[in-house]
Amino acid sequence: MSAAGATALAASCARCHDCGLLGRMPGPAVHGARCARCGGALHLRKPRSLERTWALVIAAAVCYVPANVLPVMSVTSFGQVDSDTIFSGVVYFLTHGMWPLALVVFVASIFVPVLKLAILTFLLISVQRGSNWRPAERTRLYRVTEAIGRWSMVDIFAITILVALVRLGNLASIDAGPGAVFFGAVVVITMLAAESFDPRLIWDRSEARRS
Amino acid sequence: MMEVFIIGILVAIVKLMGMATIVPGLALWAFVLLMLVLAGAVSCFEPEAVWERLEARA
Repeated sequence: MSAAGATALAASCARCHDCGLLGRMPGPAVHGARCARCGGALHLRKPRSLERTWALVIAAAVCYVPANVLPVMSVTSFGQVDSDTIFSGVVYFLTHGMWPLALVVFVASIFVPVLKLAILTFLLISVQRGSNWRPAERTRLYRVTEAIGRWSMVDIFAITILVALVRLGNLASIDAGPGAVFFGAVVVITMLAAESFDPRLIWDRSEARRS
Repeated sequence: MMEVFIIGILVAIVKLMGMATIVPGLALWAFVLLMLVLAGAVSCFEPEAVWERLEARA
């Protein structure tokens, strides 16, 4: 037993994701174990965590390109159609002197998705290479990606409200563009990717080296 | 997700201000209040306590 105490993995115990009860696993690699209290699936580590997270990260990166190139919304006023991409929305706020809002939209829609993809890719590579480098800091990075993920939805919500509110026929109307679908997909897929990554994998390597 | 939605409403309102006059209604303030109260409720809620009560009853 190490100074920091035995791990649940070494004691073959697993905590239920649904109700939090600590359960004992019958063996090291069992499938279909159930929580005694709520019946939720028990596993020592999230099954196929790295493969799933990689797949989702790559899917999100693929969707990221059309999300930024295609228009997310088109404004029709007096028969004249204006298309907006994510980035031109930021530029619009900047040129109209509303830099705090420009900053909010830039951070939420451009910075956060890139940051999330970068952090998840870094974590995946570092876990796969068996890196022992600063596990506490890497776990903190993971917590950050988990917490900031939903903030990217700001633009999607804004478009939803605009589309619903501005329905004046030929006078003025706002429609969602194909970019919005891809952008929403990026946000949802990166959130699922963060969810499917198991941060305990970061610690397994340093535990293995210590014992 | 509620606080994200509020910021979304804010962005939409500012975008519309270029096209039309916007008068925030009472419901908007009620919605902001709902966000605050809901965030408080979520942070107070402890699922573990519910499981403990269920187990004590069984």
